[in-house]
Amino acid sequence: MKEIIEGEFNTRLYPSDWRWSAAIVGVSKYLKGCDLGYNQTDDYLEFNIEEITDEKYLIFTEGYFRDSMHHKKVEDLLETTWSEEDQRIEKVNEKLSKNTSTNTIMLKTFKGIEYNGQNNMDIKEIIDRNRLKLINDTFKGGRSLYYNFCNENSLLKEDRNSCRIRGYSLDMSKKGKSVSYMRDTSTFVYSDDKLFDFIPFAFSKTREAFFINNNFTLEQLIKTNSWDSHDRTEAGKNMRSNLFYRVKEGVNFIDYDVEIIYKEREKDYFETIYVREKARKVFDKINDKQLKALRKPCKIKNDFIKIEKIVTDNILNEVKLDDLIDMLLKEGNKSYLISHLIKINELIYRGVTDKQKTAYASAVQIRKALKNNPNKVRAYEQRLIRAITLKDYDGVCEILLYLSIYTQVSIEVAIDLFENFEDNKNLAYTFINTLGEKKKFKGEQK
Amino acid sequence: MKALRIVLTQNKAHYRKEESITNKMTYPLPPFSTVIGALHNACKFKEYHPMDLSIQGTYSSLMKQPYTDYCFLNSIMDDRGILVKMKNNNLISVAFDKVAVAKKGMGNSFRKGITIEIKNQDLMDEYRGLKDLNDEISNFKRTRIDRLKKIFKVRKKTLLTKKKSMDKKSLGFKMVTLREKEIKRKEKQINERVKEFEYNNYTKEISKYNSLTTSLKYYEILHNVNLIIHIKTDDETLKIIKENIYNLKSIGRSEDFVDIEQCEIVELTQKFENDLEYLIGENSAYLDHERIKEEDIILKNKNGTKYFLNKDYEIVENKRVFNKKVVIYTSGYSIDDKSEGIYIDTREKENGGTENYIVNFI
Repeated sequence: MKEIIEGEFNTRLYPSDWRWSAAIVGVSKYLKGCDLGYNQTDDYLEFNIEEITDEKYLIFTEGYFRDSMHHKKVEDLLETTWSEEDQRIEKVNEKLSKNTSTNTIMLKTFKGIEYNGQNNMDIKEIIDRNRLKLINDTFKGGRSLYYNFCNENSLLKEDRNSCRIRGYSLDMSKKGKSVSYMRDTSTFVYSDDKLFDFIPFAFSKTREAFFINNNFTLEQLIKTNSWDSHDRTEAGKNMRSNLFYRVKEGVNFIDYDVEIIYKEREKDYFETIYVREKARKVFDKINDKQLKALRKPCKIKNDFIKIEKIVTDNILNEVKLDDLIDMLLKEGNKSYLISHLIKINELIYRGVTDKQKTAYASAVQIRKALKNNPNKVRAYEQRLIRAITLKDYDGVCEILLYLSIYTQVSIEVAIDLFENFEDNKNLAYTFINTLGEKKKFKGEQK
Repeated sequence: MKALRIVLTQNKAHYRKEESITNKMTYPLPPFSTVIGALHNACKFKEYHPMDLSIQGTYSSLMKQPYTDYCFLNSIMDDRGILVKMKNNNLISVAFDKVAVAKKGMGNSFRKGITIEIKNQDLMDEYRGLKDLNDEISNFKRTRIDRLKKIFKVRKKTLLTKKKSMDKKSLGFKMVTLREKEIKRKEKQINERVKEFEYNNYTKEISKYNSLTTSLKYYEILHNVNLIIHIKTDDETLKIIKENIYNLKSIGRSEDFVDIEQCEIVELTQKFENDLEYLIGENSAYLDHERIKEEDIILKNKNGTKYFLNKDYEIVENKRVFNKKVVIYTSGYSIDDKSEGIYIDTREKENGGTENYIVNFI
């Protein structure tokens, strides 16, 4: 929420919702970056609105998203010392010529101009002359930049007739009536502000962009969303893991009861994630070995599925991993991953218990008893998988009974399953997964 | 202090964050305005009954639910979307007949039949007939009516000039005035007849047609919601709410049905009993930011998300302007015997145990 005030500073921003929280983070980065005066308290940020000009904004953008600015790359190439001049010429022309560069903004600016090793000054002069336009166009259309967060036609424009943020913006002239009370567009309430152009600076610069709205105090909010150590680094590539799983390592990004706003580049809307205490406790207990297993590419038929994303979403929502385990059981050859998923599933079910060990021990004993008859083990495993994935819980219990009678091995977890299958389903998963043939995961130690 | 305690559950619920359109984002608990609105609707209150609320609760999961969004465009567009005829043009609903569907993104025309798939030929013919009639009416207005208007204008001007040169009390003046009135009446009559014809034969019929676009949109849905709502207001209002509580069908969207578990007028206390030194809140809640700053409510580790939630509103220039309340949404909170303005509610449970709620009215 913006308030016009009197005094040393004329504008005050409150983190009234995530959009304003993100705008505050962005404005704060800008004010710090441009070395401008401001006043920050726990509850609001004060500054002078005149100090935000289009030109300064674009120059700040150029620095903040330096890696995405093509003209900056050309400047860097021209300023770096190269042992082979031909290589430099080739690289610079890649950025300027039509053949290799796909960037239309650069093509338009450098139409008919080629770098020959001698015209450094000419190239630099063209960049200087067109700098603001180059930044503006690159930022506006960049799929990871402004375009990802806001309607590209709103950049540096004053208050529009609907909010400029993706998933909030609307073509009012055509669709305004449908979102208004009684189809009367004069009743449509919206908030839009030029300061929302600062929202891209608040999100992480990763493919899955995150903004953590822990706005209890502004200091906390700005610190959490600084993302300094994560952008464009190895850690940045695993932003999801760093956010949720690295709590015990002191990378204290999030705490429970915090709203996280999440944006995928492929989607034209934002999503909400609420982190709760129970989820945080589960994340806490997941070890590096499990995390490594989750991050491994997992191919099902012809598709790769994002195991880490599914598991994270399930933990956040206290949803059991049963469906995922069912799917992987049917695939076969995923026992290593399944064993870790079962452990995580158990945390979601009830926290760590000794019953898992009992289920594991029973399956091992059965495998020992049938070591001369591996086909039998395989047949029983398949029957159990079929029954459990078809939710035929009586069938599972029946097979367990046959198996116990056939091998003369007592299956202790069967009692729990007979009493309440739904609540103890994860024990059945452990048993089935252990019963199956084990294929060693590459690099796994015995 | 006397208050009404409502304990309810919802299988699923969505408490929309203002303005989100493509993916309608949800708050973790209903905002005050949502609950106040639902209660007012249940009690059939026609004007605002001031009340303070304490809202706390839990949910099991937050999922995204896709749905087909029907967007009726501001006007009929000849080149896009789906042309539909409404069963009742006063009501925007899914009760419509599809007339034709545009097959391409651009360059279609329902009228000319370019790249469209006709779903109902009779209605298509009717639509085209109406559009043709509209052209004829426009043409008639442009040629015949405009010519008539010009003639009337010239006559009125002539009569006005005549009147200026006459004595106001003369018979001639009276005759000219009568003639002037007659012309005006005729002009009005013609205009009304054209308007009436246009309304009956075109406007009334074409208003049943609409341009519709469909798109995939999402709701963020909370599942298995448990809410504990405490209401502080005057005794009469409390009584009415209690009597009408089973008229409370939903909170959030109209399909987010509620199941009222309990609705009781209870006595809240600020006293700590049985040597209790502090009390920990069991549910996530909206807590007054001021009370937290004053340390009447103690947070476990100074976290949570601050919201400026809507409570009551005024209509200013046809728009709702809400009175915002600054709250923290959090779960790790407690109060002690020094806490002011915070109440304790002890609920006897069916299994014999008790449950204490920290009640923070906002």
